[in-house]
Amino acid sequence: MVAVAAVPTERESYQYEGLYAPSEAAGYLLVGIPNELQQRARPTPRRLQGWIREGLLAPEERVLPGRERTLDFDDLISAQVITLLQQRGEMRLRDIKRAENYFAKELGVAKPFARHDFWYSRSDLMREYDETSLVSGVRAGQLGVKDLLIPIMGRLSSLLRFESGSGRPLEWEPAEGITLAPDIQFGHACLKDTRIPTSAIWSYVHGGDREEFIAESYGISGDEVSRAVRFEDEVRRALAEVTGVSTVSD
Amino acid sequence: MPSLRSPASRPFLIDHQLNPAVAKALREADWNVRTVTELFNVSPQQKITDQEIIPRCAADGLTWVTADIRARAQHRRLLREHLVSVLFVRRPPTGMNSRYELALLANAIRHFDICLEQEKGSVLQCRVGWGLPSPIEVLERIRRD
Repeated sequence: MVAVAAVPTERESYQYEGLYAPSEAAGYLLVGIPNELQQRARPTPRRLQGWIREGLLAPEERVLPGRERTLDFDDLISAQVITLLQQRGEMRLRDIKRAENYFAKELGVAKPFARHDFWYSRSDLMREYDETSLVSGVRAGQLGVKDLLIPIMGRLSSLLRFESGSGRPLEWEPAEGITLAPDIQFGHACLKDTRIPTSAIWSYVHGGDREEFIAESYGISGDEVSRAVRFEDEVRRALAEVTGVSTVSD
Repeated sequence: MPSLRSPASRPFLIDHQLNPAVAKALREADWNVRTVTELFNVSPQQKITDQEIIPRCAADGLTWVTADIRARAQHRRLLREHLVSVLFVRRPPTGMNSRYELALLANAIRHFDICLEQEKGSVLQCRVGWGLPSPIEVLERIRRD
């Protein structure tokens, strides 16, 4: 379910970054990350706000009031990484932050989790330093012997499923046939390979349009309409579950 | 000079957050509207990126109608650079059917068309709510010169 496609390494920065309110990002993450991988740290809106305050996500938004903060596509991927590290690696948040800060400086990028592949263990996050060594983020640059470490570590890309060594992700598929790409509809969920937002389809169907009519209007299948409605219903249900508030957003 | 009784005079691009069937209905009533798939001559299954839309609107003299206000924040620089007028349509949180959307768009586009005519030489970014009728709120005004 957590599928992320990759882009060529030469694409260093997006001109279009995606734009999400923390509650929208949380909705996508709650639905897109398998349940068993978010038991320790569910990516709720409140938790995402906390991660922003800590400087783990969207460091540029940290000084803004909560309601004005937005996340971009890199933050969406970083939030997945943080959730997965807390679950699989059982890493403490302060260690994750230490590793993120170290790699941000070392690699010269603000959001390294969305740009590079890493190796993780229960207590460390490392990346390949050269042919024989890994460098630790938690231990601020300490080197370890690759051949000894790799058997006891996991590769982050195997959880996120973006191609190793291929740079940053291009899109995320939180559910079958639904994708988020930073340059399509401002990063919001669309039917795969289209620019038809799932929220628009949900809005028509919940406004009283028949699914067949919407399918015919957009030139898509009835299955795609149902899939979009189901996904949006799941996002709203998941958000309502963690916030206690029935959330309907555009 | 456009009036509230006649269809809008200038061409509009209806983005995919809005129902292509509504665009078709407006066209049948002599409105000059196009959808993204028509403009780029692609099937609904082919994706067009946001950054392709704005320059194309500028090149073809189209006014962009979209339902997502986030476009403004994300594409501020590109919208200014290409001097594209945009109408942001807000969608009610509980859902909106196509029939209502047709009434909303017909009303909003006509008013927006009049605003643009009255402010010739300006590029406008406006927002309209989901009420019927809803006033047009000017978010940004840029002089072409």
